[in-house]
Amino acid sequence: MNKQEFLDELRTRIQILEDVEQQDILAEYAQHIDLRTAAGLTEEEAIRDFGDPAQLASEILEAYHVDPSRLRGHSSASEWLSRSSGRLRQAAVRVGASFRRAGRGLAAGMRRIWQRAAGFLRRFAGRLRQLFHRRPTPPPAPCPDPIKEGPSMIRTSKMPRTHTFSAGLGRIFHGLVHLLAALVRLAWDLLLVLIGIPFAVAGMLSLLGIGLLLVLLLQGYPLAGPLLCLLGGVLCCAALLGLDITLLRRREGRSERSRSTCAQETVPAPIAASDEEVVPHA
Amino acid sequence: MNAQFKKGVLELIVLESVRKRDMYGYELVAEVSKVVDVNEGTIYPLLKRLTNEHYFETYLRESSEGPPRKYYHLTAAGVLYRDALEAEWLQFSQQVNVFLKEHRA
Repeated sequence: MNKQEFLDELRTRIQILEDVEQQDILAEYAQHIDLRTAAGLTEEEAIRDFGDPAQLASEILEAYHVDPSRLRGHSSASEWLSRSSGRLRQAAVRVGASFRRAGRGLAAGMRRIWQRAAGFLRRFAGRLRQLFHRRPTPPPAPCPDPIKEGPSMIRTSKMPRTHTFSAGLGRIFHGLVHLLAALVRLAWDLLLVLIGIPFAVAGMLSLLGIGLLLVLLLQGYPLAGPLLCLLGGVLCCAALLGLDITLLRRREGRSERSRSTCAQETVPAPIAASDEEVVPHA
Repeated sequence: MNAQFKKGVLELIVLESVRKRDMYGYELVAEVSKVVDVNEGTIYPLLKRLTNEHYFETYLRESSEGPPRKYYHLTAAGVLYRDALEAEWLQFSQQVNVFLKEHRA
């Protein structure tokens, strides 16, 4: 075995080490052989003094706390590499699949949110249309307040012929009140949404910051404190956003519920009115 | 000489050789070979390990012939380690000597 063959064999056996270390080790052995041949020995003799290259390589690997029995020679090392690359590919495929799943879930969620928003808009438009339709034809009032409605009905029943004009005026006033109430409700919804947007933005920015700081932290920068601060910020934003959304949803639910109860109440209202009508006549 | 004997003492001999003055690999191998008959290949992994454990520092110095040589220098930790090894060796060899002497008598 000449010098080049020896160095090549040694290189394949210590391939697991970093390139710099490999170069360093091989340079040292090459120099040793050079100095030996300069002293009068042949390359073969100098290399024979090193003993078995496999034994030598395992001793070198032991110096790096690498278990030589786990990677016996070049073939098993390349096997190990190919096996680990296969595992890596599998992991990549799995990660890709989970990303695809997450994407599908996200798309479904977005669709649901869009549907709900569209539904809300449609309902809102319907409510507005109802409001404006009611003014020329007041009887099918969507939400007649029983307390307010009672006296007005009594009044109309008491003076049925003479005060139709004032009754009409009252109905217009009533419609205006409802319009105002709806506007206030709309303003409140808008206010809640407007309050929610900055918190959502701040939460997203904090998440971005956490990602950045985490990378820097892993690189050894002392950023645990700011990271915890940002984590707290994210939790805070999430809590406030949750409160905001809960308020919005509850308002929506309550208005729906009240509308359905109003629809039920419209039936007994005329009966009560007819009862009142009986009293003045008697 | 028994290979297991050599392996244990080789570290002490290498550390002691470098303590007196900084040496490069080939020089060190020649120095150690004067004391114990050792496979030259095994000294380089030993130097590597002692360097990885910070008992040695290395630096390159130009030589009059050939490429620059890597010199080994004993660190403070290396000196302490050498002293501990020496104390161990003295105690061990003394115990073995006493044991052998008793049996001879």
